[in-house]
Amino acid sequence: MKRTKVQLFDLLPLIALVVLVIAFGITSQGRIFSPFNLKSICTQSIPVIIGGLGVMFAVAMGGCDLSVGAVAAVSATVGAWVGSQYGLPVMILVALLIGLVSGIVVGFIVSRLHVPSFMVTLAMLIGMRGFVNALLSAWGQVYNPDGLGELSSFGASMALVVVLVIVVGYVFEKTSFGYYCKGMGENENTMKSIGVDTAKVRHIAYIISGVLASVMGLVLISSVGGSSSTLGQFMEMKIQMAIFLGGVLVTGGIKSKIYKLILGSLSITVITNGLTLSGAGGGITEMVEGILLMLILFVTIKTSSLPGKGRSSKDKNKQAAAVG
Amino acid sequence: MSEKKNEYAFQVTGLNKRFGPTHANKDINFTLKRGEVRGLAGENGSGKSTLLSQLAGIYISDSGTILKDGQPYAPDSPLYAIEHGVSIVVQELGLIGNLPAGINVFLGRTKPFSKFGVVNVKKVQQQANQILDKWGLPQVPLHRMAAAMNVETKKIVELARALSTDPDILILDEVTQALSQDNRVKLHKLIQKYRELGRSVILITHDLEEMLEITDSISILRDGELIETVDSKELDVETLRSKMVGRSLEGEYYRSDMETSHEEEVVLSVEDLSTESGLKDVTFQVHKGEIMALCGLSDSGIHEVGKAVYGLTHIRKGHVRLVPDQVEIRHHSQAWKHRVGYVPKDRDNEALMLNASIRENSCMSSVPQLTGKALLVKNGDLDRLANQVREQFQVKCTGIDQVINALSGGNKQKINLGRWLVKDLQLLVVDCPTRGVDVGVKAYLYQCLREAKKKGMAILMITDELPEAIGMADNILVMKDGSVSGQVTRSSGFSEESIVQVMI
Repeated sequence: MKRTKVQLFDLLPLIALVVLVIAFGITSQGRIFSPFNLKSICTQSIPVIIGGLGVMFAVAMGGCDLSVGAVAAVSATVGAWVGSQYGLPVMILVALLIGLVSGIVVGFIVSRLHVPSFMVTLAMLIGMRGFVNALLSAWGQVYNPDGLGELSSFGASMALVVVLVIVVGYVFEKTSFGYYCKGMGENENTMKSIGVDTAKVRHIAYIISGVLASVMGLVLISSVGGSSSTLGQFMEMKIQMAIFLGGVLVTGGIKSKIYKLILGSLSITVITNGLTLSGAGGGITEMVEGILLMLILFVTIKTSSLPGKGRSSKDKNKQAAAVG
Repeated sequence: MSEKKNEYAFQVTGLNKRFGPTHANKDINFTLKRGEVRGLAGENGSGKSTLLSQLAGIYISDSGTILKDGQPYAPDSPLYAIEHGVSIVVQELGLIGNLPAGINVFLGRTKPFSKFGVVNVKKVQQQANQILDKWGLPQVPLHRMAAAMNVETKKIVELARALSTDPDILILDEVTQALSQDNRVKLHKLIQKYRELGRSVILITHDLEEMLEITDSISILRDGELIETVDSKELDVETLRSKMVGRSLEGEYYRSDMETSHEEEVVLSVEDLSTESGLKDVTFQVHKGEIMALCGLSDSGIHEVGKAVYGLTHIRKGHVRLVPDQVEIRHHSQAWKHRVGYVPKDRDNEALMLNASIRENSCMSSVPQLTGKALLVKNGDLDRLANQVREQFQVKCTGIDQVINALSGGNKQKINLGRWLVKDLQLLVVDCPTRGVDVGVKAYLYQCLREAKKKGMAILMITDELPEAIGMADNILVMKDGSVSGQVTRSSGFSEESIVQVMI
């Protein structure tokens, strides 16, 4: 049976993006469409998408992962420091390893010790940020090893993001694991009483998020040449916003989709980019950004509660009861 | 004088209610005397709950008039109804989870208990306790959050809330379904007290034996029309059942044979099972093709056995063994892997994903079987299975993409049970499989369970309804205070009296 019914709710992120592009196209007098700018929108979206691919698993089950920006910074910084002595492959290996370990730790606390993910990852964010600063003050300047610059070319990072979207997208959309993650967002009790090992699924979800955070760290550091205390800063917020802008519900669930993350990531980049091109100053940019985000989220949430989509008040109970 | 006692508590004429194109109630006429206990009988979707909601001001009637004690009564809100002495306990649980139960009893009416906006919780609890005492209801931990309570305790809190306004018409929408045998008896006594006080009760229950026992008269609804009102004494279960459906039911309802029949092979062996949830040295076996029923009073631990068998609770001592696979179940994922299924009692909170579609709800239990190479789950397979569940169990819906919460209780339960029955299981644990389901669907679900038994599935049926256990089981295991207090086999003849004796 083919499913032809497309609901407004699912189209909304696309509509939002198109509206944003057209609006900023007008206010920037078309400058937004210049090939150079389009390329820069893509470049800026890439780390958001890569980090978001990992966070999606946590969001789908109704949780969140705020640690990704800080984890990215730590893994990239340590990776670069080790890499500048032992070479590029070691850097990549070390960075991925740090992401893996951090994912294992966060996942363990969230899934086995049942601490809500918001608290755990917030604590992780603060701790890891402090760790980056401590490392930088101990090591002084940390520069990228040779060869990383070539890897960060537009073509290479595009290839990377395409491969990751396909691979992670497959895991998220097509595998039993992804199905369980989304099911846990709908009702975790259901998954438990059916027999799904929810603790294991949740643990794995945070491990994936940790590893992808370190990949994001590599992409971020490659484009700036070396580590700094602001590396990856606010990325976790940007990613969360991108996911919600894309129309993924805070409670997660079956309707969480990778395409929504991609659209959301583009939207959030277009907002910053478009405001800058339209001549808004730094302070104004952030203010307008905030207002626009609120507006889009409002519309998204309104459409999600249209009749037929009915998310009942029971949801709130569920949210309160669910751990993580 | 208006004080002149009118014989009728309610006189309802020409009551109508539409929901969009659905005509839920058509020209309802009936009268309710003081001191009368009236039952409403009808299949799911026949308009019973709607009618009660109209009387209690939850829904506003489109047309028609109601006289209460001879005075015009036009409920436009539950508050209006309460002020006029009409209280309802609704079918869906209506408590605020994050408030203590005591506060829930006086929700919206805590003003007399508060000083400077601060509610004196102790006073509230005292008052609530008095209500429970007065009406002979069991004590419940009123300081606990409502969300932390089981379905039964929540229902008692809701009952206390309805009674706290001292109504002279009490409306009960499927309250007994959530209660176990001993608390049902208490509720029956409460109803009797109401009758003696010259107050009236209107109630819905799907347990027809119970309805015949406790009501004076029964109004039968079919497709939103009130067909007739009959004296309960003139009815028996069979005629009531056929009156509700409007035809005689095809096939049998319960099993007709009186023999214990199952194969020799033991499927589930529970040995000295003790848990923190209160089970003490529970030992029993379930054979291939056997329906084993578990019965007991509210704190007997029957529901905990189901959870423990499926590996959902921590086992302190003892073993749960799946004999054919020679494995010990310690975790629910293991039970699932070894072809065991579990249907929990609390359908909406534990079993279903209410906001997800029928497809997701039908397929989730079969995901391991649908998973191919590289963990791939094909959409086509999901659709096929969901359609199979839908067709095989005659689920009334617009399609598998429909959100499951839009279905009636009976259809939800068909999916809840059906998604396990389409699988090739060796053991199915069902906890109150027919809770809140009308006779038509009930008969159908029993038939499904009988067929599963015939195919050799071992079924552990936990139930609060004795007639159900007597009607379906090969063996009945009776529990009391967390341990087994007796076992009766079908061949030796089941009788309600003898089982209740073991229970208490």
